[in-house]
Amino acid sequence: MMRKIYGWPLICFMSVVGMTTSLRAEKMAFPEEELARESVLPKFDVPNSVRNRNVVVEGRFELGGFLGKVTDEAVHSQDQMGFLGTYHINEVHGVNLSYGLMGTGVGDYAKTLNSEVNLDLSKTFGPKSVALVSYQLTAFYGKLSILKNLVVNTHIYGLAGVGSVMYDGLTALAFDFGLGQRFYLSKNFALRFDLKFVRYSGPNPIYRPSGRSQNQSKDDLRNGVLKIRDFESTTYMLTHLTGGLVFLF
Amino acid sequence: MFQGLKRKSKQWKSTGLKVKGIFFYALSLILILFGDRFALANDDFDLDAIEREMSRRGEEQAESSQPSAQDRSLREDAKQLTFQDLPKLSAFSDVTVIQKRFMPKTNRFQIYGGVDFLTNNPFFDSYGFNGRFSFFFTESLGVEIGMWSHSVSPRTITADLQSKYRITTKTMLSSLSYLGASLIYIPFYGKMTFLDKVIIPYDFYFSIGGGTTETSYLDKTAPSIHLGTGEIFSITKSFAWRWDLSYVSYTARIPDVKDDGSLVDSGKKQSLGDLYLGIGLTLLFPGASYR
Repeated sequence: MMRKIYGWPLICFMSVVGMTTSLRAEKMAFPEEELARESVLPKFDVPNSVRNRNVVVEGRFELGGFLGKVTDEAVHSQDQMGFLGTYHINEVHGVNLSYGLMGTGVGDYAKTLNSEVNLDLSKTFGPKSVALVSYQLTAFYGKLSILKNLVVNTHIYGLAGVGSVMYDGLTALAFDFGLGQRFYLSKNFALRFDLKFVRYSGPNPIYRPSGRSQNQSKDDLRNGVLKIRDFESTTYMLTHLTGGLVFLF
Repeated sequence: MFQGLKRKSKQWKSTGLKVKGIFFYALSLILILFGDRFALANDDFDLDAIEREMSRRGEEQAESSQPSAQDRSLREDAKQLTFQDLPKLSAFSDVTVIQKRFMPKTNRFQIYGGVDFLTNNPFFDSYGFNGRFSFFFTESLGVEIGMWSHSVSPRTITADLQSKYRITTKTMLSSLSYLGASLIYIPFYGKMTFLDKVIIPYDFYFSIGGGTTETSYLDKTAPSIHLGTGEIFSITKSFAWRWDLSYVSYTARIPDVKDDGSLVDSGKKQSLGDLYLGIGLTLLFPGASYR
């Protein structure tokens, strides 16, 4: 009876087990072209690609200063400096306020016109300051690796809003739209770069009303007797390029 | 006698069966214990190597099995950490931050086509087409041939100078086209999420190079220096959109206006710098070959 149970089947089984335990796993190598080339990701009905943000801006305020240039200002100074503040309603939406002071004097082009053709525009009226309230849409949040040693978080956002351009004795309605990017040095400090296009109506510095000759107009400009209302209005669309440091709290 | 023989035969049978049984049990035991020697007779040395490795690992585990006081305190601290504390953990000293690039560029060509406009000329509006052809040696380094061509129109202030003071704008140089080559360096690679819905890998690059600029007067090939920066946002492994900010500095001859309104070479040169902002689409080929 015992032999029927522990006879040939057992012996064979034990023999096979004894031999198979000694088998080694062989290393299998596949040609490179047979390996999968595509990587796939599951597609979710409700995608949520960011589980945990390193830099959270929801409900936080942002304050900072900036320097910049109005790159296509023809007559007056292109320099600009100011401060800005942003309130982040959530990770996507925010409200941005900026106030920029324009530089005094005229630019190089105006100096060239004065020296070459005796057209003195130094006493014309240029913008003194620009104040804008813009809606900020933060569409992109991410990180970038710098030389594989440092990770910097970044936001890319769009701006659109209204404001005013202040002259001596005149305030002009302005509209702006643009883009910007913030690079976070820490969770509270960031470098901010904005490129904005500002459209507004203001006094045209190329003064020559009908009925006045060239020389008479040049004399009027040189003597500085003109008021801002003496200049006709023209539409400007200027490029404001700014960069600065902001603090989030 | 026959019964004696019967008993003997029975005894012999039972003995024979016993012998058979013993023989086969012994055989099976031999196969169990020494079967590997028959199956893999050539790998005897591997067993010795494995035994040495196992003994070495056993010694290492014995050394590390006793936690130090620092380890014990770290383990106690770790038990109190939550998922929200992950960003607060101290940085590792040797970590590869982003391991795999979504859109490889090594040994691939790139064609870029887009539109751009001049941002820093107060007297002319300049819009046009921008095309580039690149080759990347590595993920960070490549060379590029770029060409852009623009149409130029005077702004309001320029028309006013002409109409009110007869100050001709013909003496004001503007760039009509540029052709040059540059070196591209991509030190930054990152990923972004668009409205929390999709992840977009991107590269941040810088470029430096030189070429020739065609101006609105006389000079068809004014020598130029080009500096640029931009970002490439990947859509697929071969398709991306790209924005580019390029500064082109060139020196060209400036004209003088005669009394009859015609232009002559004034003999002077002027250095100018144009800042272009462009956006477009880029295609990389051949297809990505990594898995």
